[in-house]
Amino acid sequence: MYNNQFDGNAAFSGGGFMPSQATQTADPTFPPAKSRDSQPLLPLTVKQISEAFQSSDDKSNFLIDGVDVNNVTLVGMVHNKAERVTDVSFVLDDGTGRIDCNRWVNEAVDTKEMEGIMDGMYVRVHGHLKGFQGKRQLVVFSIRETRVPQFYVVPWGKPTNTKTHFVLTLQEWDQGFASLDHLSHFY
Amino acid sequence: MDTSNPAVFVNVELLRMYVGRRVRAVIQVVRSDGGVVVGKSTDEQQLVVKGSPPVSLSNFVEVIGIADSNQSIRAEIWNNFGDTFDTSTYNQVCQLANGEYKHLFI
Repeated sequence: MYNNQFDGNAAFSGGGFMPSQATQTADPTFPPAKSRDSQPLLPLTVKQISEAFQSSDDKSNFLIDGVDVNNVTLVGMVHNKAERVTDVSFVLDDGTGRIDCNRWVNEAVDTKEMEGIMDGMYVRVHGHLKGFQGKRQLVVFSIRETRVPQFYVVPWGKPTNTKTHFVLTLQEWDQGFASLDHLSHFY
Repeated sequence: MDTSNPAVFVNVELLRMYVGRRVRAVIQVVRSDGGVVVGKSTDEQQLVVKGSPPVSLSNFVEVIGIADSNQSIRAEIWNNFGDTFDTSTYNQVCQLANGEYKHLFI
């Protein structure tokens, strides 16, 4: 059951996908950098996040279809942006749901990144999923405006006997060049 | 977090399943008359969008709002998507987001 192939750019084989390069900023509340850097950036919908299984109470360990979910990437619209002394909070609505987001602003570069973000803007965020007081939140480590969300569907990876991997790809046109990111689902 | 009010990806064919509910669609603007924009949805059918469009509309516009009939949406949000847009792929997304990938969206 394959859908139209995107053109040659999307020549995925062997089960890989191209995560966007996340802007790394130092965050004192994060676990050691090792655990974060070794995790791929998973594109998900808020709906998927809401249904993820939380595998332990004291850490933020989430599983979707048995896959560890730590670093995620989403595209959505910003709402309720609120600037505080050490952080900026907002709600991200990706059309499937709304999730609370938090961006620590420790350095001038963080503040600058958040200054350009406005309510009603479409943004791409990279962040870390966190469970807090029973709620799921996103600790954002990178955010930028995206222009026009465009959608493509491509088969991803090699089908196996038991599973076929598909991705719903979200292509953004940002400052004149395209970067491919994905909403992915494993089944 | 809150997944109680998603905006369903629709074209005109899918719109009828979501009358009264929150939807999102991309239209190609045909004409704009006061508070009514007539457009062509990504499945090539006429879609009427009511509300307060921005002063200037680009060729392709995303609207998010409540489906108020089989062929119209009362838009709360209007996003200009520029002069070019891949409607056939967006249309496919609508079908998949309401079909085999529905559980990822609503």
